[in-house]
Amino acid sequence: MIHKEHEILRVEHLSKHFKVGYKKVLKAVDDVCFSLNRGETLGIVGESGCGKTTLGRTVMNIYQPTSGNMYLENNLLNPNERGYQRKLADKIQMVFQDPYASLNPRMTVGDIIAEGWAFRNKMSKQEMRDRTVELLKTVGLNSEHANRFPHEFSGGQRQRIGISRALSMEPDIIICDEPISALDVSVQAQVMNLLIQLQQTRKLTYIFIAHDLSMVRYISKNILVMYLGSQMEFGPSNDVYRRPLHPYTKALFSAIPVPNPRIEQKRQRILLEGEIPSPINLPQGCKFSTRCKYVQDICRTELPKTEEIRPGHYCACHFARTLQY
Amino acid sequence: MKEYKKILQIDDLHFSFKTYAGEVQAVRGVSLLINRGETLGLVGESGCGKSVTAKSIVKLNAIENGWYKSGHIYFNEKDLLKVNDKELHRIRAKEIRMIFQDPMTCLNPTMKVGKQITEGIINAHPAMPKKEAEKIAIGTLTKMGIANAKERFNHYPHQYSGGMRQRAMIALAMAVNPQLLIADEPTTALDVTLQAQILALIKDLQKMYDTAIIMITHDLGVVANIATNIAVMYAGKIMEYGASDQVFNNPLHPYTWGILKSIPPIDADCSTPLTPIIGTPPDLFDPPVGCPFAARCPHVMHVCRNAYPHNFRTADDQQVNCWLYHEYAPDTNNPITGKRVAL
Repeated sequence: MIHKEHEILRVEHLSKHFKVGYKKVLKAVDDVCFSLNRGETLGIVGESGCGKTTLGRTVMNIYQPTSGNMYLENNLLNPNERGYQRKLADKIQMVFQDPYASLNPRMTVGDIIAEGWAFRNKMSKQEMRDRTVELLKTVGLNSEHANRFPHEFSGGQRQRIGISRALSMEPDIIICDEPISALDVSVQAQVMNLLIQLQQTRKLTYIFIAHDLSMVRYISKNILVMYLGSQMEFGPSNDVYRRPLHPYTKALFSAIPVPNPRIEQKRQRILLEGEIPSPINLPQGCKFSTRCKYVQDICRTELPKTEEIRPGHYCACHFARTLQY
Repeated sequence: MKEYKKILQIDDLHFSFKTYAGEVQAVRGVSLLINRGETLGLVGESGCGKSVTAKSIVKLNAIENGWYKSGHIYFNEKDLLKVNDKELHRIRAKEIRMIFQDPMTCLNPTMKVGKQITEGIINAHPAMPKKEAEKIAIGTLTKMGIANAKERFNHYPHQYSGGMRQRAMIALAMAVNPQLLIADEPTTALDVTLQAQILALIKDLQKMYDTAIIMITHDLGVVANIATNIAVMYAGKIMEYGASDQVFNNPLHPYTWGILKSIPPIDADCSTPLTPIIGTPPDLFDPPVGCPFAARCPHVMHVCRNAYPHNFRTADDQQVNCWLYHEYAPDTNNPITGKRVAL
């Protein structure tokens, strides 16, 4: 991929393989490439078990990547460097899915937010307290909340605490791993609005992982579609939704239920047959070949390469140029 | 005109739980009506009492610390709260079946799937020979789209994949051809592709058997797909009830406006902000006297905080509990249709 002006993160051929059992390998993330511009959002979508969370965690170096390169502001990152994890944490932070499990129940909210600063010994206690209060206010909580414990908050409020913890390091990139899927519809919108408002005021870049496809479309500039650890399609959000290139993307988006009975009753659904195959015994050739309705002989034998079909819109399918939906 | 046969009627049901902190009034006066072959979508946020309502139909709520305060549940003109245990058991086995979000709470992990289904059929029809029941079980599994049903019949639930377990659970419920199927968030844990498969399956079965379905969900897309009627619940009460098309395209209650406006519209990007409902649902230990939504409602009036609204009905039988439809209420615009609110 060509280097761009505002590019903040570029990931090239990133893979994460886990060893499971004797001589068996689970390819959780396999050869994924994408790039991200400052202030934009990349949405990662796919069925459960497709590796989207693993991808986020591998970028964060929670899992050491098996292979592949990452460039942060055009500098190649070296995971073996001393203090790499801490350096990365200054730039990239994460918001987790489960607001109940991701906050330590034995720490006060103030301590949770200030933990990163305390590790780095850069601030006085008073300064930490002031900045904690300031952060709580940015995410819509009060100063007195700093002395409370996580169990005293509702799901939406906890997610706000999680977001303020991520903001405390003043990162450039925040990886949001299903930040709203545990929340109710009315609260989801509150958290989404907060994320968008923070992005605009702080020039944040998001990697937004979710299976709620309509929310992903709403927030994302670019979308990465994954299936069984591989990248199927990557491109501008509207383009991917309106004119998907990959048969899998097409099927995935046709399955999103639309909250309007008039549209819903007229819609043509592409029902995928069967289920996602086991990631340990991957199908030969294209990983989607076992469920694809346009499958040809070549799909079963040869792995398709990711190609740029339209400007900025990449797809890994042998027939991406010829298939008409 | 198609003739509708009433199958289930709930009248002013109140159900409470006793906890250390006091009494939780989970269901506070729910009335519903379901006809044969129809699907009722029960929508609401978590904790609004939709699951408790559904479970109270077949008395599945924990009896040690929960009790029916008042109300009636008529199933085929029979009051379910008054039937004896033997009769209740028969109804649960044969006439009202439930499916759940997590199939493993329903399937027995130590028993082969086929045996569980066969047992269910024999429970419903005690006189049926085992061979015949097994045949029906295999037939149902095949209808559910399970390949190799004969072989799968002898497998344990853990040998099934997630989607297949969901199918097996639906098979368990549908094998006895029940009159009413209560589906408690059956697709919430599934991916959209699987969800589409399961919903299509439930719809097909409904057409085949003319079953009535109560579909509990918080996903508005799911009810838009499957429901004939929708009841919107909030804080243990029903806020709005009507035909699916009306509730989505001409919603009457401010809470329904709120949920519809907090989901991103198709084709929108983040330059148009979402309109969330501010605040959180009320505490059901001490529910407000007036409208439970008053604290979060942008159209709140003085009366809303002091008295629970009357039930207002449109000409097409859409019902709403909101003071905005009273003749003395000020003129307000419906943000979904853009017209003035009126019955």
